[in-house]
Amino acid sequence: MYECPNCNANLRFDIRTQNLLCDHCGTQMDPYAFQKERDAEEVQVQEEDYEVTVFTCPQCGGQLLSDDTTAATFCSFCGGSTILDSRISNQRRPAHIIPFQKTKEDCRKIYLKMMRRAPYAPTEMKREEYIARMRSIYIPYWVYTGEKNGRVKLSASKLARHGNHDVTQLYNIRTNLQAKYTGLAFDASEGFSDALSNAIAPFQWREARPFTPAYLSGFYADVDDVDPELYESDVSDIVGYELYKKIAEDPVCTKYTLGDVVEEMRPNKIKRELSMFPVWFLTYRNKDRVSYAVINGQTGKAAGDIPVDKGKYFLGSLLLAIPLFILLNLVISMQASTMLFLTGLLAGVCAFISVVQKKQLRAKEDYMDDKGSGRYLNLGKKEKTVLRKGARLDMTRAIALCLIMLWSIGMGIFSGSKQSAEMMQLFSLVVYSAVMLVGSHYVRVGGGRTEKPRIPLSIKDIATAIVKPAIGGGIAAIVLCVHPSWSLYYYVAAVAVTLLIGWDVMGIIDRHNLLTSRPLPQFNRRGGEEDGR
Amino acid sequence: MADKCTYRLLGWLGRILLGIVLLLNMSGKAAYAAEEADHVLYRNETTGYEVYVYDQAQVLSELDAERLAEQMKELTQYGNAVFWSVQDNPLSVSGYAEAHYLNLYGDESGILVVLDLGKERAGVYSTGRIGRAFGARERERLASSLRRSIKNGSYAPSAQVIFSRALSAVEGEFMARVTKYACNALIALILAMLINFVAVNLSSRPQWTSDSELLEATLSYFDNTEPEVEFVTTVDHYKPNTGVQVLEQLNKNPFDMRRF
Ligand SMILES: [Zn+2]
Ligand SMILES: [Zn+2]
Repeated sequence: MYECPNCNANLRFDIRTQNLLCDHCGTQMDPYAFQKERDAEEVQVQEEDYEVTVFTCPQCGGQLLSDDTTAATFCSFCGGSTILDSRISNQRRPAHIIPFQKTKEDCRKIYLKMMRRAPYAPTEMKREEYIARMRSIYIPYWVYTGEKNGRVKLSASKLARHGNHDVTQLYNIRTNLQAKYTGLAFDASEGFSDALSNAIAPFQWREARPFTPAYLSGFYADVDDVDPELYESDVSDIVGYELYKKIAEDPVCTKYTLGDVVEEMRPNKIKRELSMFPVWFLTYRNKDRVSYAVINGQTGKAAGDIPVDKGKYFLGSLLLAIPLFILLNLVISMQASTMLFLTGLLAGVCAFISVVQKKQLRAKEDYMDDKGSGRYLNLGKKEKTVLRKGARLDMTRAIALCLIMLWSIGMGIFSGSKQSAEMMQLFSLVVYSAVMLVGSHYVRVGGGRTEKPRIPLSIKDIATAIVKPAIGGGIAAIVLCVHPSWSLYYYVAAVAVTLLIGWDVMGIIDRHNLLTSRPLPQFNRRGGEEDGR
Repeated sequence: MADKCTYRLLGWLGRILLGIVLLLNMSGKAAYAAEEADHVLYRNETTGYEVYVYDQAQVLSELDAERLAEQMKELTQYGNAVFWSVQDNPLSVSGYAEAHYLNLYGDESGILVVLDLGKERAGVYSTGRIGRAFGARERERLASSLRRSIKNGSYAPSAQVIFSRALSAVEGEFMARVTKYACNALIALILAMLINFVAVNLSSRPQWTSDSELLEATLSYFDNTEPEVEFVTTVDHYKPNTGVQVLEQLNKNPFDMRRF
């Protein structure tokens, strides 16, 4: 706690002036002013640690640091309203800090702007009382420096064609390299998901300042609890690939095709330090799950996991259906069988979405989207860190699948007037379903910096995901196969398929809400018992 | 060709003549209206459309008229139904039908069937909703197919055929439209649910910040010496030319034709 030299009231760091400010008498102080005073006495201690109040949430075990000793009344990790336990403790002293630049009012506007794009978010998330709980927290980050010094040898080639021969000339290219990248940062907090942390990145390292506890006055800070070695392979990948790109742009090298030389380009020295970066944090709690919205306190970049309110969603769909309905009436007038065919196709889309979501959930359960959680799935080395030279998507296969799908859809729709229309539609529905199934198998989800792994789903997983749309598609297929002459059967079947799709969309939203939230955190931080899971 | 032209010209002349007749008629309009009420046999309270029978040539027995009116009632859901018989008239039957319908009900939806005993022909005029379902082509075709039965004197059945055809046409069209709306509504609803999901997914999920964006925020330094290139070896690979390769080569350098 820092006291005003003028009136002894508490000082707090003021974002607008970037100085310590006394609310009582308006005195402004440079944050480093206090450091110099104390430096003289306790140089030794300041190198390693600093003293701070630690608030612990009795519900989730989440810890927040502050230099304030007044009670905190809610927890930003689990969203619980409770008086947090407090104690004084020594914490590892960060090397640098990027002070908050965006005020709460700035962030309130940024947040509301983000929420405008989410019309189906729960009303609670847009209420002012809720937004008032937005909290400024310094999040600990591991900041890395990747360095490459010395001579590198690259293999290169040139291909020429002479008559019936491919003539390849092989070369070695050598160059002396000096490169240094400082400020690649990854969050060191378990409570902060990698996806959100990445979404509000980057922080401008140029504006980082040496850490002094005075910056924390009036703010909270999160505890660092992530192994710093976790991100070293990411840093190596990012810097290595960047250096490779830089070298490839060299006017000499552009004349050659460079071989797979990324290994050669990896940095030979990686250093790290702990720093504090500013983040505005808002927690939305719904029963036993939480979603976070975060805003970069330096740049104002916002991201959030926004759940969907089912009632609003269906109302919105109904409203959207009106212009679509008018548009359809202007454009097409379809036969009963064509309509049934189309509902079958759309049921297929639902099934596809469901399978992909199931994969995303599986990836999330396995914590593959969060390295910092420490439960990062142990993938094969190859899968984990293959340097990306663009996504490894098999384009020919993807295009072939798309073409087959378009062809089957076209065949189904444009055969509507022919004698054998129903049989054609049945056939194309079957083809289309097969393509959808194969396609969903190929979709890769999860992962962030790592190459996205293929998530294996069990037959049971797939079956539970697609059961409703599959029944819908089955009904459509059976009616098309029987092709009754009385068109009423088609309508009854189409209504049934639509109801099944509606039911499945509810499941899709449930899954979306699982994906945009996480279970209440259960922290077991330093000093606690062993992780019992 | 010439026949068609004359026919059309006569048609126009007829219409002009008709206009004059109608204009003259206007003067007697009041008397006409009073008399009109006697011919309205039924009025549909919900739609306001009427059954109007004017058997000027007295071709219908009382029973015939009753039956015909009963049938015409059903059409009043969609428009006015008018039966008219005439001993002789100077106009074409279809022109006569049109003129009288317009005079009676203007541009309201409806149908008028006229039996012209002199010409031994039926004429039909339909407009509005009934006209859309039972158009000029259908009514011309039907009228000419009924010529023989009119010649034979079966007047009431002929009229019945026309009214029932018109009814089934308008009902069919009604069903087709309901069907179209129902189909489109279902598809629109499903599409809306799915489009919404895509929109939600695109807008409410955190975006991925690329590595180059991360690097831009760092303090960086990069320098390399002029690369030294050392030739190692040549690898020769026999690969006969195929059409595709020739094309590929041509695409690379269309002016370099020496190799081929
Ligand atoms: Zn003061
Ligand atoms: Zn908590």
